[in-house]
Amino acid sequence: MANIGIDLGTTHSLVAVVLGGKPRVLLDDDERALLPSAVRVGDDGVPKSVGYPAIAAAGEAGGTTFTSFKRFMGRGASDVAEEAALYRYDLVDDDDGMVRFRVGPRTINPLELSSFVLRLLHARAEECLFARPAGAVITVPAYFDDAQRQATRDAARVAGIEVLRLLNEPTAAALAYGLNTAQDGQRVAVYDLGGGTFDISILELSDGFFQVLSTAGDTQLGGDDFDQALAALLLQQAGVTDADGPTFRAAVMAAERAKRALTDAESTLIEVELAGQAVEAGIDRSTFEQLIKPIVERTRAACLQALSDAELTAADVDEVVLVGGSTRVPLVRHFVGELFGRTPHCDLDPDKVVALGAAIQADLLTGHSELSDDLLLVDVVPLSLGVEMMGGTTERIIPRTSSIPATASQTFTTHVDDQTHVELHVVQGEREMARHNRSLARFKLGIPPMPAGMPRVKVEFDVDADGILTVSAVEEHTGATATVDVRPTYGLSDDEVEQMLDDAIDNAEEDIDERLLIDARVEGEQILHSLRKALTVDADLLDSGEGDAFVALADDLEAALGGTDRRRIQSLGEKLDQLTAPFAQRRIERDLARAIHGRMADNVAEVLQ
Amino acid sequence: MICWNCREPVGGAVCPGCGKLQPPPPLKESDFFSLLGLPRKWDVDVRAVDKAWRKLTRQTHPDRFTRARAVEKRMAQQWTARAMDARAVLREPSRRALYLATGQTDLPEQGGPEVGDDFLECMFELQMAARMGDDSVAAQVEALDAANLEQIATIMRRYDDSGEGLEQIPALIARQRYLRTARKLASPASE
Repeated sequence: MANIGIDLGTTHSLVAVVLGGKPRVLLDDDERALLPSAVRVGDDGVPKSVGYPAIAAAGEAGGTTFTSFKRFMGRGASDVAEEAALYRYDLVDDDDGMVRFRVGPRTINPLELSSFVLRLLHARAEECLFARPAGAVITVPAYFDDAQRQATRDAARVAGIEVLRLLNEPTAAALAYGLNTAQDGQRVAVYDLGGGTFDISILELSDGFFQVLSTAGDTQLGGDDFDQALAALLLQQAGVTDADGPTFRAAVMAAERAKRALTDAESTLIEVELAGQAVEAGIDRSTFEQLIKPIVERTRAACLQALSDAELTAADVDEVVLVGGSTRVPLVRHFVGELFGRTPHCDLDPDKVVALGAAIQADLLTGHSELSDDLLLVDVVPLSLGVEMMGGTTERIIPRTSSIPATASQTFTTHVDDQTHVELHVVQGEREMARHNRSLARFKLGIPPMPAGMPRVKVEFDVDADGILTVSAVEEHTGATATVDVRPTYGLSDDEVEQMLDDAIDNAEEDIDERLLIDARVEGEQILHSLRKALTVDADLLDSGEGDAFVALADDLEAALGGTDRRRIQSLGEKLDQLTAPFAQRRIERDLARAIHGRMADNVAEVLQ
Repeated sequence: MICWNCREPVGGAVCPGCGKLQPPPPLKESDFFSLLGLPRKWDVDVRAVDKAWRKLTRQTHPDRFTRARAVEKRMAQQWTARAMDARAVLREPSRRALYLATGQTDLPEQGGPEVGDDFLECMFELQMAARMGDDSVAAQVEALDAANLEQIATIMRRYDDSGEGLEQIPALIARQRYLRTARKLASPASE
């Protein structure tokens, strides 16, 4: 069964798969590869269309066409107020601090909008492959922080897609160029200017390893900004001072068409209807370049940052790769060529290169790749992860550009006598003051009252291969079991995902794939079997009440195995697997202890003889 | 060691019988050298460190376990993160020396070993000279740093042969930190 690669882009999205040893982008019924990342939601709050039809309906009354919602993923309303004003979206803050768009009687969050796009691409793949894809690799800008990654993963969960891996876009691009076959020690710079985000990454390739040395960028900078700048000029020339939503969006779309035309042509004519009047404006390339030069120039600092983090200079870079539709703009190509002193690669379509790379990684993750079994990607954390200290400063626990997965821990104490809890505020960013960084989560850890300075609170950070953070904290000194109360600032709980799944419009059960059901049953039976064995052999390792919880869930799973609901079997299996993980850990630890003990006994025996 | 899944004896990270990933050894039981399968010596080739790291990571990276159960995924993450740490420390001559001498990977931020009054006085004088605009300071700092490094290398090579004599190492490593600060002061443009 195939795994697919999805490029979930700001302006458009694609799906690709490796077939016959080659990555291929999958096309829709009209042979188009790109799916505009646009969702039309009616004034009644019901989603009407996704992709081209949504774009076509943009100027019409009766609803809103949402575009560029990727820029709002995993953000709070205050973070994106400026953008919201640009796009004329009506924002509300969610209870959990996550931004939502108001439309008619209800609100919708950017994550749901993304899930509509993902679902459509997934369905396209299913149609092309004549089978439901097993899992997907989804690309994200390398510079996405934890909240933005969580939101992307949640969007896929809502769309009913199993995410095998979140892959950074520049890494995907380097994979697509097959630069892994280049000679050892090659360094590659990937300059990725998309619709709404800019990333620069420096990679080193050696011995089948694709190692990211550094990454920098700006999640709020892209080709959309070119359109906005040109649209503002258009509106100004047409004498429209306070454009409403539809007028503004019409201006942006006209600007976007002009931008495309100016890639090859020296000048173009814009014809558009703005606020009821027909507007005609001629624009030449040099005027356009004047307009966007300050925006392109904003990418320079990030490029220099990435080089310095990798302890390299521009001259040490062997190859430069261009990614993202905005790198078609001649001024951008010229800028990059000059900055790195070499002609950038652009043989592959910059719109497709990320999806092609995602498909390659998806294929690698099948475990029986058609391409290569020896390739491994090692990515980095884009922004430092830490906690807020007394006085509001940031204490870094995992510094930026650490290779992932990464684990680090630090021990803290209290400042006041008899504190009954410590509050931990987890943040991401490079600023000294925690309030200037992105807030990821707030933890409350209950501790027994002790004099100030006595408690030893060990905080552990784990970043997985997707760049997503898990934090745990424990008070070590008393040996008392400390409880962690996690309240994620962003992201969704499982219940919320379930709810959204139920709400989703076209969640009609697909034809049940016989094979998937059998796979799920085999997996479920295996989990049941090994758990039951463990429960009899290692019953003494169970915490009080734990065994009952296991048995109850195991019974549910057994009942589900008799049915045909694959999703239920899978979700119960996963739940049981997760619930029993600490128990499994204790069993492994005991095995280890036994093994060590056994070795010591052997040594003693030797001495005695 | 016995495989937690199939109960067969196992030596490496992955069980040869059933292919399941084994738990990483307890931190106290294994050091970074044995984790990467390298001899416990200071004089190590950086390329050998990279090669050993790649070999282990290729076996244990979470990408190899996307379909595995939660416990195994978690172990893959632990192995890979620990291998990363080992590589980062063993690649740097100074960190490697400190690790062999103390078992620590870095000096504490505050406190730390005594560097000697003579050395502190020398640093103070260089600092004053730099403030006065004496442009020979940079060269003096470089010379001191080179001599310090050479002293570390001499001690470490002797250790590789005899397995002892690392008492001075923490102080010498601490001196490097002072020299780094002095270098910044002497040539602020290069920073």
